[in-house]
Amino acid sequence: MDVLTINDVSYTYKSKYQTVKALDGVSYSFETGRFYAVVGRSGSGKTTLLSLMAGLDTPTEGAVLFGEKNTASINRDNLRLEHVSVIYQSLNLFPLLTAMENVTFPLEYKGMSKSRAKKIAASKLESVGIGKTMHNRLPAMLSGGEQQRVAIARALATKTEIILADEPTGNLDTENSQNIIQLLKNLAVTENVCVIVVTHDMAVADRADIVLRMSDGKIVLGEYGKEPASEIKL
Amino acid sequence: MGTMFRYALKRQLREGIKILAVPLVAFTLVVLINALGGIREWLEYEYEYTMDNFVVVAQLSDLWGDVTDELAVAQDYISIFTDPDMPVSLYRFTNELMLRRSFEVKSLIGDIGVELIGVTGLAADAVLASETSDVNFFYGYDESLMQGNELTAIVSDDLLEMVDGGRVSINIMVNLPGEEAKAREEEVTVIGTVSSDTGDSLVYLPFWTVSALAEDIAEAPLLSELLSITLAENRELSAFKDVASLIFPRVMPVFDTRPFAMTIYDSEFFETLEPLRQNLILVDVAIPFVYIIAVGVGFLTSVLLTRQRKAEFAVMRSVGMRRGSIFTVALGEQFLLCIIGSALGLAAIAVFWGYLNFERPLIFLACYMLGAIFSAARAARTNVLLLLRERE
Repeated sequence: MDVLTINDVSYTYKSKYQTVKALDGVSYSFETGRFYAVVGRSGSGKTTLLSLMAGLDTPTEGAVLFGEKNTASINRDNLRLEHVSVIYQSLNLFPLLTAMENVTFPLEYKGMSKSRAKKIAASKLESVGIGKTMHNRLPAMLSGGEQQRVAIARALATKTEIILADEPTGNLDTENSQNIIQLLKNLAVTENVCVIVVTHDMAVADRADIVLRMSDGKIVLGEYGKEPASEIKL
Repeated sequence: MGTMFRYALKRQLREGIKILAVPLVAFTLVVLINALGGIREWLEYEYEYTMDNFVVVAQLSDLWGDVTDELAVAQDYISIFTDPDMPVSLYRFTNELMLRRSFEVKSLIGDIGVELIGVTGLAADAVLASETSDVNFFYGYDESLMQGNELTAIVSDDLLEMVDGGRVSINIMVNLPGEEAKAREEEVTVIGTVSSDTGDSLVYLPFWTVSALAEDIAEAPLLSELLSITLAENRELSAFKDVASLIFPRVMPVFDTRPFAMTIYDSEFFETLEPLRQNLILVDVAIPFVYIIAVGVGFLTSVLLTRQRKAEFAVMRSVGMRRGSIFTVALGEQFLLCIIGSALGLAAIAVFWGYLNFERPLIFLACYMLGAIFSAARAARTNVLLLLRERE
């Protein structure tokens, strides 16, 4: 079932000094229960695509559909709060909230009770390998990999239908990276979640059900998902 | 909303020394504004005290003496002429009736020496109106009786026991140099009482009654050479001058044949008042200026703080926090910190100066928050895509 559709999407960054077309007529349909990898060079438009799918902005042209609803005409804050989790490599945690609070905050913001939010957060942190001893640490006291895992735990805790992750394993060692990818893959299969990962890591792409390659703001793969990830050239 | 503020409070408490920035700014500005406010209130008090208590005397004199001629050309004075029946009803005449022939008027009630005060009007004058509020008129009488030439009087409280059947006898003596003193007992109707601030025994009579009695007793025309008028209400000085200058045109000693001139001794009054007035203007300009600074500082401080937290706001957006919520949190944090600083500033002023004024800190707070609104709006508008692109 298509949960997210991008339909001829273009996006242009406009600043005082320059205009940059980051996406140029991109179309694709993402299904539930699948694990997608989006690969491509820096500046190819991967992160922009991810952000538009998260409803952080609307396309300059075309449409992003959540189910059958155009994200341009729905409450996109609510979309992220209820349906889409997004994990960025650089903008992931609240610097002055502990690991536990970083996970519980969106849950409580949604209206969940403090104790229930704490219980869920503890279990999700545990699932990404963040032990109790680290629950009360501020992000600055965690390694880059640990921070990334807390961000993933937060995405898992919110139980959304779609998880969008920008280089989720960028700061992780091989073992942790594999564990996280396995976790996300399991989530796609067992919870019927649509997981879309933007990555440079071909090992991650290799584990994906479908791989999309982006270049110059376009998806350039001929037949989506048919090409073996190991043969993809960025 | 409660969750947001609970988390906001937690993060603020972990800010370390940075948390002091806004309260410190608020503290300093509140102390400054209140110090200026305190100075203003002191200046205002001095100004009002001068207005209320500084004795400005206007002298009405004829032109036959040298003194009046000199006064007429002195720079510090306004010398103006009048007709004998000038309407000076706005002002109170003291009983310094220095008659041309150096008559001296003394008066007694029983064996008590009393001060006769000629009153030309009560309700007509703001000054006397304020005095009349202290006058207790007896039943059936009112102030209109003091505006004619009736034999009616208002006496100070201490003379009340001398009043018999609503009337009192006053012994008025007029001394003429080289002549035997002339005296007459007059019975006047007491229409009310007044409390005397100085403890002197006072009798207020209609001015024209005093004049007529003096003339009658002395059996000579009352040619007033010098008549002192105390302007008890200095706020009305300008208005008085405007009115008086119409009645007493500027002196022309050579050609003028009019018999009366008025000299207002107000230079010392203005020398006292002017620096106070100028300082008041200065403070009145300074206080709004500090409020404008507060808007600027509120804007600048919160812009700096929100700029540092761009990434945090981006995370807020990415987890689905509404722009309105982010705006509220950003503004709420500023408000909380500002109010803490303001409260400390107020407390410091109360402890060290014993002075408490809530109005100015509230205006300051409003100004500061006005500045902070801009940056809170900026925080709410954080564009995650642009920020990510900047960081790539």
